[in-house]
Amino acid sequence: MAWAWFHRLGSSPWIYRFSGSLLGYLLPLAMTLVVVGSIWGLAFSPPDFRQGNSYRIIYIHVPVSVVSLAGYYVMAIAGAVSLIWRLKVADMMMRVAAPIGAALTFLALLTGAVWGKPTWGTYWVWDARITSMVVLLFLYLGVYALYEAYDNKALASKACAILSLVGTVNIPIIYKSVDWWYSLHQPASIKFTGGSTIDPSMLYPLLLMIFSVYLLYACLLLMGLRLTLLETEAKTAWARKEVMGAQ
Amino acid sequence: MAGHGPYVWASYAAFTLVLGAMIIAPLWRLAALKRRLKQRYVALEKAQAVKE
Repeated sequence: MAWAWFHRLGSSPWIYRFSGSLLGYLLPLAMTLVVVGSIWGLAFSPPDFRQGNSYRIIYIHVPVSVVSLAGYYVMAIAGAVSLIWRLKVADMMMRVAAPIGAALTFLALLTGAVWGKPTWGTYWVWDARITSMVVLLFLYLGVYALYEAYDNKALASKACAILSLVGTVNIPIIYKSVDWWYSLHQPASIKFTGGSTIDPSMLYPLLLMIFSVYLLYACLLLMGLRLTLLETEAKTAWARKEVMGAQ
Repeated sequence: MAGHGPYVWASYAAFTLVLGAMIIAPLWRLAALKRRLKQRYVALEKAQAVKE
């Protein structure tokens, strides 16, 4: 009985219905907060004394970068749960997290490159931070491709879970790359210990954007999970009831 | 924006396009899947009724 809540997470119909009702609130909230945060960052925060207005890319670049790193842990933990407890839902979560994480990592690299041109004078440089982010992108794409490469999907899931877990070593490397190596990329502006080096008028919209992109990521995960659940369990009675009942 | 406008707007445009696609794609795919499944279930029910 003590673990009932955990085993309920393995129930496909429960997850499908609960995520459906949750998305009804979360998705509009996430989209609204992204819009509010973007407008705040674009129009109402002051320009930087050194970079002028090009720094405003920070309100997209940092949130998607942060969430792409956190999303890798989501994928890896889902893989671990799938390996240990053999929960199908965890396996689906891992597979859904891969393309979402890849898209966010791509966006981080793209906005970083666009920001690099006016700031560093170049779109690209093979410094530690950028290179390790490229490795992250390849890891995400690798998990997705590895699953598609196997005909035996049970084996595919195990291989993807192991790849996800091995790849977690890259996340602290990305995070500490600006401290460990001489890097063109600036060090962290937001610090968990000690004062942040960013003014509150710029920090608050940035924190709002980080929070809203996290929320949006959660929504994208749930949407992908619902789709995968229905695809995989189309022949079950609960799926039939959901589809026929929806009219 | 002191000449940096195109960079900022390009970034926001990419952000909007990518995230917009990521939100719309699963919603569209789920709706399409439900339509296909409904057709399949209706066909199965008809086949069942004919058999009986």
